Amino acid sequence: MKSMANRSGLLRRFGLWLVFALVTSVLMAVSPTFRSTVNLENILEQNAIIGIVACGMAVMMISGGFDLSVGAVGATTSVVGAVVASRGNGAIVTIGVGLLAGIAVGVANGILIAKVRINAFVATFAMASIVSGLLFVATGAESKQGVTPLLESAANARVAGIPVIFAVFMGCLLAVWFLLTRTKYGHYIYSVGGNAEASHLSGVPVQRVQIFAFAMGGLMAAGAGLLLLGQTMVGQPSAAADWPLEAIAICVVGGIALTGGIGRIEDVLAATLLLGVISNGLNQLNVSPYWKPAVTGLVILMAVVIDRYSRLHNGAGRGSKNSPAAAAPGAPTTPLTPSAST
Amino acid sequence: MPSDIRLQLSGVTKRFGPVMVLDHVDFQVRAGQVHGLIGQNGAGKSTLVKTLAGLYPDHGGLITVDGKRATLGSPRQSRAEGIAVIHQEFSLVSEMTIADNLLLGHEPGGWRYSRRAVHNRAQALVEQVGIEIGESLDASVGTLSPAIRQRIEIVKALADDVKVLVMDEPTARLSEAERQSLFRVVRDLADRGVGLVFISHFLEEVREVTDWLTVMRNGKAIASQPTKSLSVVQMAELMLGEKFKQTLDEEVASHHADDQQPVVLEADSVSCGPRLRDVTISLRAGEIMGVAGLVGSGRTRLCRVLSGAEKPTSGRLRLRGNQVSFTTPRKAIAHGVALIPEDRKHQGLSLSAPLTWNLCLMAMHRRLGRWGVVPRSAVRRLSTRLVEDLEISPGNIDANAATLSGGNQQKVVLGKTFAANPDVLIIDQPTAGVDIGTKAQIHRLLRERADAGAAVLVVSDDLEELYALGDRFHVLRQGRTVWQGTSADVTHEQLVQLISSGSSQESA
Repeated sequence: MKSMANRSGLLRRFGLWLVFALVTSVLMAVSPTFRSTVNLENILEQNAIIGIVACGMAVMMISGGFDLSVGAVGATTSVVGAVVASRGNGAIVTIGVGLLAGIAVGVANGILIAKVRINAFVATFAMASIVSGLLFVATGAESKQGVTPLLESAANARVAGIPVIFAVFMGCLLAVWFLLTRTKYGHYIYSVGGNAEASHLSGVPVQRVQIFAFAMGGLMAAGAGLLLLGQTMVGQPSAAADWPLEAIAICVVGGIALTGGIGRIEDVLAATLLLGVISNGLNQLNVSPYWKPAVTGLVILMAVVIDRYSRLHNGAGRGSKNSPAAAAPGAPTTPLTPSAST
Repeated sequence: MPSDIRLQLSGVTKRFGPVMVLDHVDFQVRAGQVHGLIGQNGAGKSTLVKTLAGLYPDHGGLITVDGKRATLGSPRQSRAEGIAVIHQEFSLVSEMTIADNLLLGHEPGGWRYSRRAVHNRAQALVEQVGIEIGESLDASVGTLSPAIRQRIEIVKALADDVKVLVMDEPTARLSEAERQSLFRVVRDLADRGVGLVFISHFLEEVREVTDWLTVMRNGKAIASQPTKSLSVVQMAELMLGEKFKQTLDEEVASHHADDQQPVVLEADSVSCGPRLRDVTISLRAGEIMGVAGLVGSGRTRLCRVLSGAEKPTSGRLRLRGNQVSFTTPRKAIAHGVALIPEDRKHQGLSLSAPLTWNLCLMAMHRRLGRWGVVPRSAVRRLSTRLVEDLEISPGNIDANAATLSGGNQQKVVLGKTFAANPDVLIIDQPTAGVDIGTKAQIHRLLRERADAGAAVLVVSDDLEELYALGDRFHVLRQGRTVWQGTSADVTHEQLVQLISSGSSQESA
């Protein structure tokens, strides 16, 4: 019984990594182009940007929300970065201004959701429209040239074959991991996502935590936008439109509950790599690119179904929330007695 | 002046718009005192509790703790002032561990969080408080029973240097044994000099555990005196503000188990997982069947199986002799079997929808309208009639269900079920969290249903209520039937014994 529980716990802990390893080995076995070093390095490079966006999305989803404006934020920071850089500013100013723009939108989202109490879907959807609308007005829908050398090399350079951009992704991941598991604010992000009312009654500063989570999401999206600028060397107002749903998909595959309170950032890495490998593998096998959305959708559904199934069998499913009176019969009931320690 | 006054409220007020919900309340709790607070639904108890919890920073009047003026601007501030509140709805995060929950909002260390530090601190806290939780501190709260959650709440509330502990309906979800051990904890805390505020609808229980009693009515504290000076009837009179005529005992007179009555719904050795094993039960027209048992005895499971909310893993259901299989509640309702679930807020009502919508929901596909089109006039007519019949107040059928008090919400759930005119009415905890006046009314309504020919099944934690209502009883223990018979075969005391031990010593 105990070992069963342990085994299924292990499976839950590393299940996604196993699937990733399995898919990768199969692709390596069948496709020589897939297993080439160049291609493997490309996979790391291609998925770093969306991985960074997903890190921010994970924080917001664990806190019980999500953000449809990350794409608009990414496009905005890449355009803002291009404009700032083209006026002869250095990397620090360019990056600083870009990140601040992202944080500002994130804080605005957070305030709308936590204080004005607008539903996250509506708030961030409207924010996405406003931000990208303003961006189109300001640029006349034209792309802006301009980049700093630092951004360019961060996005394109390789050190010992490892793309620097992937190292940046790992840095972001590590920072978010530290935040979520080693700091009180990270801990509160889980508690607010799990039960905001209970957290409030326990003295957790719920609104500040929610705003903070969205600021983190905005920050990550802005960082991703700057790296995008580094890769393309132009700020494109229409870029990054597919970021929000892609990032949410990664988080869902990574086992982060849309209802909040549950999720591990390690699994976001596994999910990013898994989806990246699948998409790249389909290319290398010369499968028509039209197949990609259907396959991705299937992977998302499978991940969710498996997750739900394993949760039900661990008895820790959300379904059990509905029957609070279901005490285990026959279980030894320890009486509520004060021990004699007075 | 007496330094042992822990908590003092002087002229505390709170308004919601033009409505004065707390009207200059004066109230004081001494160290070591268990202070009962009673009143009907809507009397202002919950508002008072929330004010103490720091949820209403805009209240008026003066609140002092240990003689010092206390500012209760947020839950955090209330805790810092030494007031801890255990709310009616558990305020625990299901996704987190017991240790995390115990220290939520008070984790040790600066900005950093360390699982080990939290675990150690929680361990120390449990030892210091001296209350066994009975589960590993690393267990996730999600799947624990109400009694264990209650213990976590108590330990959590005592995490700081607590001077005043407020418990809002702490026994509502506990079984009899758990209730008794809670009382021991309460007394123990009082002995340590904590001032306790104990809120309950069970007047017997208030008499048993409290030293002093404050009665609230219409937002005012109308009486405050030693508990011993009042009988239960006097308490009820004070709460209701008029001569309280119908005591529960008088209801017992109307029992009539009659084997001549036709069986409407019967279950033939149904099982459902480990929680319900081999139960055979027959519900007769015109009778109220009381199903008794502790929390976890399979009571709720039985209700759900009989009403199609859950599928039995084995066994058969028969409706008027014909075998039926209710795969969904919709089918059961179509056959005239309706369930009133125990949790009205989550399972019984659509809180943000108007009364019309709530009241007519179940009648929709059974009685109202034709070809899926429901005329507005019919909905309004039916709703108005139900609101009048059940004396739901305020009687505005367009108001949202969330705006009503608990007792009136329960009447809406009853009304919704009555509207479908069921032949079998299954009701789980008919009067949980309902004041004594509404309670008597709900009992009367159930009896009327039975007299009109319906078969009624009642499950209740309140054994006196169950005994007063039931024509027949069915006692469950750990999912199995341990006794069944008519009200003539069993006394109240025997019923209590059956539930807790599975046998009545002097089987009559």
